[in-house]
Amino acid sequence: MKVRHHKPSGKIVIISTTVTVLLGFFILLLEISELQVQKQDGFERMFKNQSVRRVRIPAVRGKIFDTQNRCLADSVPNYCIAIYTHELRSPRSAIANSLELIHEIWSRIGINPNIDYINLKRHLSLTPNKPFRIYHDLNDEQIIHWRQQFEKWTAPPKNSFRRQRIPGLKLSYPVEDRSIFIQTSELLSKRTSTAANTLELIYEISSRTNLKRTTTLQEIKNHIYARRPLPLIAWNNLKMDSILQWADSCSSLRGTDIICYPDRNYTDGKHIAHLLGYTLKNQNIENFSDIWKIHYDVSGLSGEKGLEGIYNDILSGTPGYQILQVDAAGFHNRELQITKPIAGGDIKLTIDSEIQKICNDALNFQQPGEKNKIVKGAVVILDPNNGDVLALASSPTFDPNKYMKSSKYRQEMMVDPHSSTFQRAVFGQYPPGSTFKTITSLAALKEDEGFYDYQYNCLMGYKVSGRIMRCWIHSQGATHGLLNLENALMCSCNIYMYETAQKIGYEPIYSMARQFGIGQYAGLFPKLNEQYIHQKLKYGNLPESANNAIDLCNLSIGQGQILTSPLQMAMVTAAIANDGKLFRPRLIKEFRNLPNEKFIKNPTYLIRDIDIDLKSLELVKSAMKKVVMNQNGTATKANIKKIEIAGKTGSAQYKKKIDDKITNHVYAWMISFAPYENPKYAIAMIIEDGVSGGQTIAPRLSKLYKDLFKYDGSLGGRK
Amino acid sequence: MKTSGKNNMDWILHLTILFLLITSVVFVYSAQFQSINETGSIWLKQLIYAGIGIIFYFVTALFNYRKLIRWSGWIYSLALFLLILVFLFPEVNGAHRWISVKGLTIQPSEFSKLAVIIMLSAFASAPDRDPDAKKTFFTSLLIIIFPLVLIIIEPDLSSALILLPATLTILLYAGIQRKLLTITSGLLLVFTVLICLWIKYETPNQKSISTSQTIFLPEFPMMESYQKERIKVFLSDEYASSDSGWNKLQAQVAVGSGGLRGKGYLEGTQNMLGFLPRTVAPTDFIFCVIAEETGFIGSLIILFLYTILIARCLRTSWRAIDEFGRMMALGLSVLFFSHIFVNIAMTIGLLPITGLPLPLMSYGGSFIISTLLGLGLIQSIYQRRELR
Repeated sequence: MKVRHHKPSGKIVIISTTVTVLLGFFILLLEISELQVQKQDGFERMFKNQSVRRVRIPAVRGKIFDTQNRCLADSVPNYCIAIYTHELRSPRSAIANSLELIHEIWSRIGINPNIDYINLKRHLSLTPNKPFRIYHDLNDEQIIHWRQQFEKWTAPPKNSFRRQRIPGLKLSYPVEDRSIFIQTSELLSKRTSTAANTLELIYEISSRTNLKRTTTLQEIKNHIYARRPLPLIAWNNLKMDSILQWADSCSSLRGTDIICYPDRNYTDGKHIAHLLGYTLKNQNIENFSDIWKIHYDVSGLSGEKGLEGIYNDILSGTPGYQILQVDAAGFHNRELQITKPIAGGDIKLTIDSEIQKICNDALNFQQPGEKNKIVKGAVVILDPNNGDVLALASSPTFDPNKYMKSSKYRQEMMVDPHSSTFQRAVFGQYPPGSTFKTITSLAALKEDEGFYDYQYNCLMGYKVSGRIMRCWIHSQGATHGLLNLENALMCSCNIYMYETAQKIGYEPIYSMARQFGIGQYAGLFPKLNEQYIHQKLKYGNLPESANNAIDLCNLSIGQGQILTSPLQMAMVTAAIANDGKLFRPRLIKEFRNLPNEKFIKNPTYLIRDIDIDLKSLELVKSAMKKVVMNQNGTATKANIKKIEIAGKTGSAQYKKKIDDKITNHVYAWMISFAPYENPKYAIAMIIEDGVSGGQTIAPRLSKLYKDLFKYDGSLGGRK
Repeated sequence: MKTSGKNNMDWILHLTILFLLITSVVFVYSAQFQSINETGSIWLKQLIYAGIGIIFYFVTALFNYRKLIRWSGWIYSLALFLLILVFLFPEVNGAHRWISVKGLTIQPSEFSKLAVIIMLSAFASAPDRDPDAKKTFFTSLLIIIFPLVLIIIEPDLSSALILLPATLTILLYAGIQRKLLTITSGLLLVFTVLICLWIKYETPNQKSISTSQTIFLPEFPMMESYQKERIKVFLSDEYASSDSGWNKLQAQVAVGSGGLRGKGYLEGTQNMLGFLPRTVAPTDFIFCVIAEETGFIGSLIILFLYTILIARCLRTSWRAIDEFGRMMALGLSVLFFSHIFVNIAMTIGLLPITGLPLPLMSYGGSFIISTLLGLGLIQSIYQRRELR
């Protein structure tokens, strides 16, 4: 045998190699089992964190109806052209590169180059080696500006002295012959960014459908940076013909589709804007926990003000979730799971939108001498039999559809000197003025039956604690003469009320006003899905005691510290009209938490039976009738034929300081109910800066009643 | 003692190789799979390479390996020639590693590994060799160093270093002066540790990971920045934002998220979504793809198959009839094992990221053919084993 026998040491080497190999495999086994079995959860989570994205998709918002089932706030489809950026990553296109470069130059020079897309395409296909002119006949100023911008753009990076080259632009000649050229030959084989491809697609769609391009390169870049897995919305609020055009010409294009998002439309717009409020794009992304993190939110709407805001929980529905898988670059890869959104519930109001319109018309019913003044005021109409709110109008008003869409309009509204977005009917706080005399009278009659035939003389120079208090008629150089209570109410005599108040004191008036709900929460917006809790919140202002006799006298005529809202005065009127039953104003007739469910009734709620004699109520009511129907009444202008109306005017004076000049102003008031027998409507109307209740409000009220009775058929109208 | 006939091949080795190759094609397909429409085509190439490799395997197996003793000088010279020829071809990814003629691309360093082992075994097993002579030691050292240096300056450090354990084992087996061997290995080890420390504390450039230490050494010469980056990523516990840190993290996430049972074939999302870089998923990170899709059970099977493979190779070494066969089989076993160990250890974060492929599994023609050539040699040795 030629071969030498190996030494014993060789065997040891083989054996120890075998041991080493086995040990090596054993180490690998241990390590892999640690990774895959023990630490699996951690890696699983890491994997999901980097590749799974949750997108919240908005639910269709519930509708708001009026009492006649007219839709006031509707969810409408918003058709959009979407661009799926993840499908636009691969192609290399000279057109996209050129467009991107042109937009980059545009953003720096600030002059719209009015790109002719077709022309650019033709240039690139026929003569790509020649430069393409994008600006011509630039003036000196523009050239200097461009040169500066170009310097900045191509400035050398840190630690380098060489200026950066921008493909497609000549470094040494940014301007030639007062024109800017791009060297398209350099762009033919350049790598194309996704943003550039998106831009090209937008131009392509724009040229095929004649839609005007609105998306800028910066917006595309922002989208790709911040909302990469989601489709980019290039156009929204498309009209039907645009959609058809798109379907005809663009459906074969790669990476684009029409998608639909829910949007909001307010059918009656301005008429009921304050009450309904508005919706805005949902800004806050709620994170439930780390695992349930929401990465992206697709333009959901959330109610901001008014009913939209208060009942957002019912209306907004439950948003759905889309779980997306994204690839390493963060682009959409596939949809893993989708939870469909559940549409929101609906609300049916007691408001009648026709009556609402009538109210708005009446508020803006110009009187001679008002000269197109912007009317600042409010009307509330309640049904005295059950407290249903038939109309809640405030003026001036705003357009909620415009408010949602235009941020410029929103800013205008925020600094509006007339506070157009302020809901005066509910939240306005005014001294009630002479309309409060009804309460003073009722308090007096309850306290002392002698007032049924008590007479007092309205004289000039009535002194309270050494101060002369006046009646409004004194400024006209006249007096009311000797009056009883009924006439005092009819003529709205202050002196009689002072005297009454002095006699009965503060407490009876205070408790009567409290019984009528003044100074208390009206409960217009109850929490629908909870049991009623009697709210003891303070609302308006009713001082608990008077400091002196002057305060007492002021209260008796509804001036001084007392503040009420038009809604509260409407409640007072309704309670007088229906013989002392104070109802909670009911705004929501029915509601449901889910669409297709049955409506749940929101019951009427009697706050209390006011503790007064019918006899005294009759007296006050007949006095109120005389205010309108008697020729000596203060509101004869409110009179309409055929139907008896009762009312009470009020003119609360206040002082306003404008430019160091103190001027006197009047809150013109009127409360009224009609028809006198079996009243159907209880109304409170106020206008800021009026002349007086009788002058400013009464004619408007007359128009209001005419339209109202025509509408409900009492005057032989529709019904 | 008698030599066996040709029908005494190692069937277990045959089956193991076949099973591994099938797995390879199946998972190279999966590594490139995006969707039904985007499947990629390299699995087909891999199938062809595997077919060619198997032909080479059987041809080599039938060939009497002892003839290599005479040819070893020529084979070694050819390998050196090819390694020099590499530098005449254009750079790809900043390295001269490939020779491409008319679309056919080969990577000479893969074949030169075999050549070094053949040459060294032939040299050390020569009957008149005195293992204690210093001349023997230094000649062996020269045999190793020439190709090693050529591969290092390609540059392909990991391919060069992977030769060291195999050659060291051969020299140990040959009984070459232990003292000198120990000193050389010791020096090498100390040297490596010093380099690692230097790299860890060198002045960081902008792209490298942030470190909190205050003492900075000047930059280490002679290494590419990506290589240093990999070592830094390995040495620091924080995951860097750099490419190698990303790869290390993503490889671990892929293996870890596979869990016990895996995500299912063609469901390996780490790879499909591009978190594992698409260029290396079918090559260096093929084990990640398998581990993610088949889970711990799949990894276990793969490890088991590799254990059988190496065990059969070592058994061949044990039972070979001559010193040359023993040395060669031993050297090849250690070479395969080091590839397997380093590759898997790197995908699970035990070792720094290197460009070493997984034998019989990673995509790549030269490597799969050279591996099968080596295994053919093992079969050839096995056929002529001592029978008991």
